[in-house]
Amino acid sequence: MRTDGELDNLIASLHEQFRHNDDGALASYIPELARVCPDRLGIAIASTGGEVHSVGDAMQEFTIQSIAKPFAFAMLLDTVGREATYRSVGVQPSGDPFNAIELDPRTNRPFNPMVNAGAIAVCGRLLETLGPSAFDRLLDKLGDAAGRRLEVDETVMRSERETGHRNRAIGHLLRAAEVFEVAVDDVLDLYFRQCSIKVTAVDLAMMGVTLANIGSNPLTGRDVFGIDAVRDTLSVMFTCGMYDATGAWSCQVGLPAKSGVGGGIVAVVNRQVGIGVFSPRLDAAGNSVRGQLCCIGLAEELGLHAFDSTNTGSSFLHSLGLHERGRGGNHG
Amino acid sequence: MDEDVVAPTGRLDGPAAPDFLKAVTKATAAGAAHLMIDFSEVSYISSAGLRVILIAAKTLAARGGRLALCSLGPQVARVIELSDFAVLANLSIHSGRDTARLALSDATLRASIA
Repeated sequence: MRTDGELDNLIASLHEQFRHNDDGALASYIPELARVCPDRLGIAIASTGGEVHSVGDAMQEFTIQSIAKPFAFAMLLDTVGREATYRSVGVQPSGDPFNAIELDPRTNRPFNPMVNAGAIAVCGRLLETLGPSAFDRLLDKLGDAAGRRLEVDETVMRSERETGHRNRAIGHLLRAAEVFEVAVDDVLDLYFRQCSIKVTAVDLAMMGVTLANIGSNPLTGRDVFGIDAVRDTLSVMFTCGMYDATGAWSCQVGLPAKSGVGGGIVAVVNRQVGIGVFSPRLDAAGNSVRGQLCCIGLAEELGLHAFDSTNTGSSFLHSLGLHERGRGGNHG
Repeated sequence: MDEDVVAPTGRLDGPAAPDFLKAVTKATAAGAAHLMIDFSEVSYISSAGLRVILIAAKTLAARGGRLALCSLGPQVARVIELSDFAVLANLSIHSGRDTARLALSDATLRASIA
């Protein structure tokens, strides 16, 4: 049975409900980000069946910023394998701001790939492994996930490069810890380019559903990420994806997600949908205010939370028949 | 009478869920042993509405009461089936008020014998 139109009605009502919320402020740590129109709001949902539903400014481009991190991490997992990846970066939530200049004192490695230190470590390892073509390969990878050719916003990229002093400090810290051995400037160049890729809410929904769809883009059919890379990436998004507000997000929305200071959020319902939202005003943690409200509304209405009372869990356990009524217990 | 009846109308989605919860809470607080929810006028239920059903079932279970759902439209029936609410032992689903009332009075009778 299909209830056509329900999803469109829902996203339209969420759009209407939140488009007048003016809480939060534009990111201002680089001048270019403070120049975008703050009033935009776009919502997109893409399903593993290949349907895309969207409303508002869902085709408006903005810079991906930190939302590139999980996809670069997945690419590194596929490129060098799990063992080598985890020699360079951990999977432990740090609880510190995303731009903290620190490594995990137990391992001398970044806490996780969702903070800047971890993402720069991932860039260093990609550059070391793939050489000068690393960025083009990364851009292709993200484009394969989105299902279209993506481009860099050169103005934002220059702005990032001119003002990224903290990130340079992190780069040198990582170089000193021998996380990578290539030149710090080249690694930072890759990192700033990655942050400056232009996407839309629809792109984010497609990139999300590619993760949801076992790493394969449901519209183009192209296989983009391996199954182990997808599982590890979604795990890290769940524990670390929303900066230092991830704990509250886990309780309220309960989905693996990643936010960016460009105003985007991608969220994933495993094996079902990818969600992309865009609205530029951010809260103190650096997450889109309206974007989070929309995701909370979607989770409540659609029962998306991983631990929602309507979520019936592992299909494998269902196949074993353990949950059929009246089987009685076997405590032998 | 040992049961109360709540008969919501229209859509039981996020905007409607608070009123639905109020109606159910009022009915369960009134002290009747059991509760019947009649869905004949409900066209759509979202996860926010399902949550209210679960709260009602648990509130009633705490005092040995039962929750009977009746007259479910196709969307409501399908969502409740997929959510596997049969996990709640005190919840039952019926075609109409008559069979729901029979089931609840039978439960009352059995409780009084025991």
